[in-house]
Amino acid sequence: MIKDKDVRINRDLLRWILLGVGVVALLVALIAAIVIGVDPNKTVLYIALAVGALGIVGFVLIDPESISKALTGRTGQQATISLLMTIFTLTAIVVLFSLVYKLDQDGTISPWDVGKSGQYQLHQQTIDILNSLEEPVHITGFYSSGTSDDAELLLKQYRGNSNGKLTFDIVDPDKDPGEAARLGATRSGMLVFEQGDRTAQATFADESALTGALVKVVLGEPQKAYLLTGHGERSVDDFANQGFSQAQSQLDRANYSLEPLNLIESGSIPADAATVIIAGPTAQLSQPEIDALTAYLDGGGSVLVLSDPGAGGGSLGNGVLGAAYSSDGRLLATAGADGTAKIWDAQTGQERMSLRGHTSDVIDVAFSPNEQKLVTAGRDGTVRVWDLTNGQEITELQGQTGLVQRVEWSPDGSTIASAGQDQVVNVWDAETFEPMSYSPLTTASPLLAVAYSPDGSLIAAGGGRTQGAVDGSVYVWNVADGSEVANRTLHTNPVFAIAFTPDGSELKSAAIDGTLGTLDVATGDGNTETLYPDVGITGLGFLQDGTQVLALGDGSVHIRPAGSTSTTDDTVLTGHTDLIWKLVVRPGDEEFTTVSRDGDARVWNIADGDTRLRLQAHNTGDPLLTYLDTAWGIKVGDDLVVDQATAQLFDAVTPVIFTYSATSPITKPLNDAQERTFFILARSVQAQATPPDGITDTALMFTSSGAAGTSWAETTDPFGTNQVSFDEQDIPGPVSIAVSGENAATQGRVVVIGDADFASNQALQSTTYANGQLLINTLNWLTQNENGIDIPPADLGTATWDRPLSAAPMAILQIGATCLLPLIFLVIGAVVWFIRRRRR
Amino acid sequence: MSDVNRSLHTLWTIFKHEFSLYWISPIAYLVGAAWLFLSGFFFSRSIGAFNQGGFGFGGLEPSMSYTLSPMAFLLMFLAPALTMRLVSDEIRSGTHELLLTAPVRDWEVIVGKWLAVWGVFSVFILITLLYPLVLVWRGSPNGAQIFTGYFGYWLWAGTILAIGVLASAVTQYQLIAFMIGEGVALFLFLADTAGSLVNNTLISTVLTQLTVTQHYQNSMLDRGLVSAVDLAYFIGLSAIALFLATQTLNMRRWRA
Repeated sequence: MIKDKDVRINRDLLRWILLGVGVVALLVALIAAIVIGVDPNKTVLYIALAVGALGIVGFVLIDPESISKALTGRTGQQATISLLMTIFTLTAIVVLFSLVYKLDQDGTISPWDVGKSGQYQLHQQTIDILNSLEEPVHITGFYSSGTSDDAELLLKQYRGNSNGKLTFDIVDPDKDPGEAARLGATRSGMLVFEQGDRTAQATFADESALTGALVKVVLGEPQKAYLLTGHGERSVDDFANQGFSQAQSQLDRANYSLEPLNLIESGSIPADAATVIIAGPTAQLSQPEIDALTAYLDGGGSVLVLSDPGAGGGSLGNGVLGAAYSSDGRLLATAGADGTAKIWDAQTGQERMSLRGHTSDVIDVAFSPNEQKLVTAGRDGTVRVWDLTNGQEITELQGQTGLVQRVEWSPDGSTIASAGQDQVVNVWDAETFEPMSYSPLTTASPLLAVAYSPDGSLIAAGGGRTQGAVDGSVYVWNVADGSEVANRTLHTNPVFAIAFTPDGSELKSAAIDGTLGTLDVATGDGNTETLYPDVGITGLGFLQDGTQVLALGDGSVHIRPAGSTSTTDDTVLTGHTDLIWKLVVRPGDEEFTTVSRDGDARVWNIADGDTRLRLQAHNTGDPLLTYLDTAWGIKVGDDLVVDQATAQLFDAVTPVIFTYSATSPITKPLNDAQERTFFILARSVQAQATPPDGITDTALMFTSSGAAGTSWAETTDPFGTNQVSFDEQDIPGPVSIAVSGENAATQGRVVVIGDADFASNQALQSTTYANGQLLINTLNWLTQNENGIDIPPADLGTATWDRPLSAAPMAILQIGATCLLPLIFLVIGAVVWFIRRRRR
Repeated sequence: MSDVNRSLHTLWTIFKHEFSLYWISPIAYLVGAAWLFLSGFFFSRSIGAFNQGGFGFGGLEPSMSYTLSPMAFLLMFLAPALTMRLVSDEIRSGTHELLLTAPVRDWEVIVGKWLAVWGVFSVFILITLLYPLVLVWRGSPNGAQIFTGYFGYWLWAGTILAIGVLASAVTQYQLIAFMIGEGVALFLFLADTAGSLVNNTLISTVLTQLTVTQHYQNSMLDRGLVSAVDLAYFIGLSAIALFLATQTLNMRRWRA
C-alpha cells in the first residue's frame, strides 16, 4: 500500500513534469514560428514540436484514469479548468506579444516618436522610393557589437516599407573582417548597399544618408563628379602623397566616378555632371570659366571647392608682389598673384601689356637692359623670359625648382640670376639661356633676396629661414667664374632685401628684425646696425647720391640721407596699410615704386613725398574666390590656420578637427560619432554674417576653442619670415575652415573647404581619421538635389545646459533633494503613526 | 453592463481602502523616503556633472536619464517592500468580504490592491517631477525624452509591483515574497546578458526581449520613443503576473 502510494506520487510528479516540459516546448515552437517564420531548415522547430507532443501524450498515457477523473470529478474539474485557463491565458499573452514584436521588427508599426525628431520615422519620399523598388537591395551595416540599435530601428522601417525587396543584416567588422574587406567598409558605422553587382555607401544611419545611398545604388550608373583641370589642380592619376588617386577609388565604392574636365575646352559643364570638384587650383580660373560655373550653379548644380592657402590671391599677397623699372625708366613692370606680369607706362600709369603663362603667382620681374625682354619668377617654380615686342614667352629657364623669390637681369645684360626656396642662386647666360658652368651657387637656406653689383661683375644673395634655423648670411660671388668673394653672417634673422651702393663699394643687407648690414666688398669686413627693431626692413634702394630708401614692415617708407647714423634724420612717407614686398627706384632718382601686401603698387615722388600714382595692378582678386564671396557669402581667408591644441598630433599647421556643425548632414555623422579629421596647411573659410538673399550658409568645422592664441588664422605672415604667433590682425579661434551654401531658389549647392590635402592620398590612407567619410558625405550632400531627393537630417534639438548652477544654489539643491524632501516624508509618516498610536 | 459597473465599483472600493491604508502605515513613508533620497542623490549628482560640462568627449546633455536609469534598477529593492504583505495579509484575514455586500471575485481583489500600490508609487514619482523643472530652469532639455522617460518609468513601476503582488500571493512569508519579487526583477535586468552568452539567435532574442533595458532604457528613456512592443512588454508582464496571482489566490480558496 505504502509502496503503491510512493509509486503514485512519483508517477504524478513525472506526468506533471512531462506536461510542463511539453507546454514550454510548444510555446517555444510557437514563438519560433512567429519570429523566424516556418522555415523547414530550422530543426529547432521540429525538436520543440516533437518534445511538446511527447510531453502531452506522456502526460495522458502515464495515468489515463486520472485524466478521466479530472474531467468528471468536481475538484478535478476545478483544477483542470484552472489549469487550462492558465495555459490558455499565458499562451494568448505570449502569442500577442510575439505578434506585436514581429510587426515591430517588420517595421509595420512605427514607434511613436514623441519628440517628433523625425529620426525614426520615414518621410513619404523615402516610402515612395521603397515602394518603387524592382530589384532586391541588401544593406550590410557594419557595427561593433552593441552599437547598432539606432541603425536597426531605422532599417526596420525601411524593410517594412519595401514589400520585401529590401533586406539588411548587421555585421561586426571585428568578427567578420572578410565581409568588411569585400565591401570596402573601413570603419564601424558604415552601411553598404548592394543591388546586383553595384554598391553604394552610407556613412551614417539617418534617413537622409540611407535614402541617398539607396537612390544611388538603384540609379545604377555611377554618378559623374567632374574634376576641374588646367589650373594645377590635384589629379586622380597622381599616386604621390598629394594626389587624388585614393580619393577616386574611395568614391568609386560610393558609386561616383571622377572625370577630368577642362572648362576652357568644353566651354560649359557637361549635362551629365552630378557635381564639379575644384581641388586645390594653384592658378586662378578665368572669367569665362567662372561664368560657366555660375550658369551651372544657377541651374541647380553643385560645386565643391577645395582651396589651399596661398593659391590664387592668397599667401604672398593679395595682388601685386614684385616690380621693376626698365633701365631708361620709361617702363614699369609688376608681378601679380593673378598669375600675370604687367607692363606699364611709368609716367602715365597706363597698362601696356599683360603677360600670362605662369600657373600660379608671379613673384618677381626684371627687364633686360635694352628693354626688349622681361624675365619673370613664379610660385610655380619656373623662371620665364618674354619678348616685349610681341608679348610672347621666349623660353622657360631650366634649373629652378620650387618657389622662386627673386630674379635679376645683370646691368650689362649678359646674365640672369634667380633665387628662391631651393636654396641656390641660378645664373644663366642671357643670350643662350643656358646655365652658367658654375651654376647653381649653393647656400644654406631658402633665399629671399638677390642683387647684381652696378657693373654687373658681382652677384649677392641673402639667406633666409630654413626649418627651425636661421641663416642670416650675406653671400657674394664673381659672376664670371662663380667663385666666392665673401660669405659673412651679419644677421640673426632672415635677410629680406640686399643692394649694392651706387659706387659698388659696399653691399647693404636688410633683415626683418630691423637690422641693416654693411659689407665692404673689397675687404670682406662687415658690421650691423639695428635701426627699426619693432617693424623690420623689407625693401631697400639707393639714389645715386647715396641716399637710402628703406621700406618697412609696417608699410611706411623711410628716406635716409647718405651717411646718417641714426633714424632721427629720416623722412617718413606713409600710405601703405601693410608690409611692403619690394621697393624699386626709378632711374633718374625722382621717383620710386613700392608694392605692398595691401594690394597696391604706389609710385612716390621723392621731392615732396606724395604718392603720384596708385596702381591696383593685380588686385582683382581670384575670380573664383570673389564669386564665392559675392554670390554665396562665403569668405575664403588669405591666411594660414594654426592650431596649437592639436599640434602634438601632427604639427601646429596640420589642424585636427573635432568640432563640427551638429545640424549639417555633412558633418552631423562626424559630430555624433566624435570622429576626427585632419587638414594639412589650411586656410580659413567663413560664412558672412548676412549672406546674400536666398542663400543659407552653414559653417561646418572649427579649429580648437580655448584661450586666446590656442588656434587662429595667421594673416600677418603666412609663409614669410616672422615667427608665427597670434596677434590682433589674426582671426581668433575657433576658426571655421569649411562652409556649405545652398540657394533656396535655384537649388544650387556649394561646399568650400580651406584645404585640398584632406582628401589627398596621404590623408585618405589613415584609418584613424575620418577624412574619407567627410569627402563622401560632402559629395552625397552636393548631389542630393541631382537625385531628386531632399530629406532634411533628423533634428534631435540638442539639449543644452545653459546656465550652470553656482556653488550656493547647488548646495541648496543637493541638500533639498537628498535630505529635505525625504526628511519631510519621514516626519509626516512619524506624525501619522504617532496620532494613530494615541487614538488606539 | 451592470456586471462591469459592479466590478468597477468593487475595484474602486478596494483601491480606496488599500490606498488609504498605505498612508497610515509606516512602510509607505519609509519606502517613499528611501525613493526620494536615492533619486535626489542621483539627480543632484547629475546636475554637478552638467555644471562641469560632463565627463564625456562632447559634454553631457542635461536629461533625466542619469537619474531614472539607476532608479529603474533600484526599483527592484523598493517595490517588493511595498507589496510583500499585500496579499498574504488578505489570505490570512479575508477582510474584504466584510467591506462589501456582494461577494468579491479574486481578480478584483488582486487588481484593486495592485492599483492601490501603484497609486502610492505614482505619488512618489509625481514628487520627483520637481527635478525636470530644475532642468528647464537652467537649461533647455529635451522635453519629449523627459516625458517618455517618466512614462516608461511609471509603466515599469506598475510591472514590478504586479510581480510583487504575485510574489505576495504565492507565499504568506513576507521575506520570501520580497526575495521572489526581487529575484524576478533581477532576472528581467540580466536576461539579455544571459542571452548574449547563448549562441542561438532564437533564445538570445527571447532573452533580450525579456529584458527591461531593451524596452525602457534603449527606447523610452534614451530615444524618446514609445513603441508598441514596449507597451506590450509592460502590459503583458503585468497581465501575466496579475493573472497568476489571481489563479494562486483562487487555488488557495478551493484547496482550503
